[in-house]
Amino acid sequence: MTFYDHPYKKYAFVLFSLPMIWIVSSLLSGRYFPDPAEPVMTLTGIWAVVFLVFTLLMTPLVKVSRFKWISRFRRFIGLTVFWYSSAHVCGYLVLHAGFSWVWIKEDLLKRPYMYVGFIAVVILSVLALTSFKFAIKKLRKNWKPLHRTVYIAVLLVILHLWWQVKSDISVALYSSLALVPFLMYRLNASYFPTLHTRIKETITKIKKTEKSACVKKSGR
Amino acid sequence: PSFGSISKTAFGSTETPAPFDTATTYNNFYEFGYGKGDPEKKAASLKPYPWKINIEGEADITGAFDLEDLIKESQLEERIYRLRCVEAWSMVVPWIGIPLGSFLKKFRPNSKAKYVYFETLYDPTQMPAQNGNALDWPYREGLRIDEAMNSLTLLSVGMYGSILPNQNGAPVRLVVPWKYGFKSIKSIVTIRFVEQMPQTTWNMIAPNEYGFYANVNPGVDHPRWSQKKERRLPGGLLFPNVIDTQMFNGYQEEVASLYADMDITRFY
Repeated sequence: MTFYDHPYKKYAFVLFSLPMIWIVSSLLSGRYFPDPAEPVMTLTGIWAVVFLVFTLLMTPLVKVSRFKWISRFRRFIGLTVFWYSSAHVCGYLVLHAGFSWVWIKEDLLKRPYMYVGFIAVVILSVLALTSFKFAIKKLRKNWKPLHRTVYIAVLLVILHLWWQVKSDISVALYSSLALVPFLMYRLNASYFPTLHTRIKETITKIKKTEKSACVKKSGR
Repeated sequence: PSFGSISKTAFGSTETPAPFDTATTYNNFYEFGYGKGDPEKKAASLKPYPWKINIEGEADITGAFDLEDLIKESQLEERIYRLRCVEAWSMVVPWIGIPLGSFLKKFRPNSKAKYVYFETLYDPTQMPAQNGNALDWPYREGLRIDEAMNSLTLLSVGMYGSILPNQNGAPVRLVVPWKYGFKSIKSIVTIRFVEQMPQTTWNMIAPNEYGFYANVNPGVDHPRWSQKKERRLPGGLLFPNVIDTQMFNGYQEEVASLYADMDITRFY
């Protein structure tokens, strides 16, 4: 099985790259001139959040049998989050700070908004590096808890988004609306087992109706 | 409208102004949208001529005046100033205008005039983003009277040898070069002499981030970013021109005395 084990992956690859192609070509063509830092950081940040939402959607989706096929794209989408957040960091380092070490040091050490985002990217990097078969085999039982730290990254991303608001809250608001339910779901599972059971029951119910629908279909 | 004679000054003679296109396509003017490119795209709905300014408050002469009448007697000057935005970018712009001090003195402010308050036009038909609530409209700014009277403070009506483009605050705006850009209020319709320190827009939104004085100061960081450096625009296509931010944006000689007995770290 290779990276392209699923025939649709090349299409997914192109599709997921489209925003990046747009951002990079706009940057190179001077569309973001004279100060490309803000648009590049905003766009890569927003797309990182979009793919993060997709990644988080995997857990509930694969529980519904109809969407099981989507699990093949799980790592792929997770890695896309990593690429967009890396581009976000590069946008900061190069376009915003011009590799001025004084500037970067000031920001990283003193601004909670900055180091919160930085820690989130560190977490995503670790997850990206341990997302391959070899790491999964090596880490065994530790792999799952390690990859659940994505929810810590989600929390940090939400903080980062609210801390960066100047006047326009829309990005922070919509991102939070999309991300918070996943955090609640995870908290449910870990700390409120009764509620979690109820959610599980609902999922089972959905599955049952699906099954009966299938039975009806095949019986016809 | 066009200008008669414009006298050149020594201000900024060693600086290289930003290209006209840079200064007119990269603007913060929330009345036309959040994006830096929005003002250029959307400011055509602003009708800057004719334009009335209301002079109010603690002065002998008050009332509504036509802008053209107010400045037609004055000798226009060109001054090349550095503009430092609180967002850590900066630009050099050749402004045309008259010293605010000589303009204000014509209205004979009285001894109660401790501050000067300014207001931008509020008219959502001309400034469409005022339909939204990005800011608490109208945009408000203020200066202490000695800051307003300082010889650097310019009441600008033009740039690059011509009238102000709408997106740059036509037809009349402030330029206060030792303060962060948001102090340089655009499209002014009201000037009021007041006794108390006035409420100002960004200070009302986030007092811990934007002080009333807002003097450029590399030693006082914005809570969310450092103010020690700035990107001087335009830089390269991919690599910004990062330079050190100077105290009072490099105008210490002219303005440091205004704050001699003030703790400028506390009153940022």
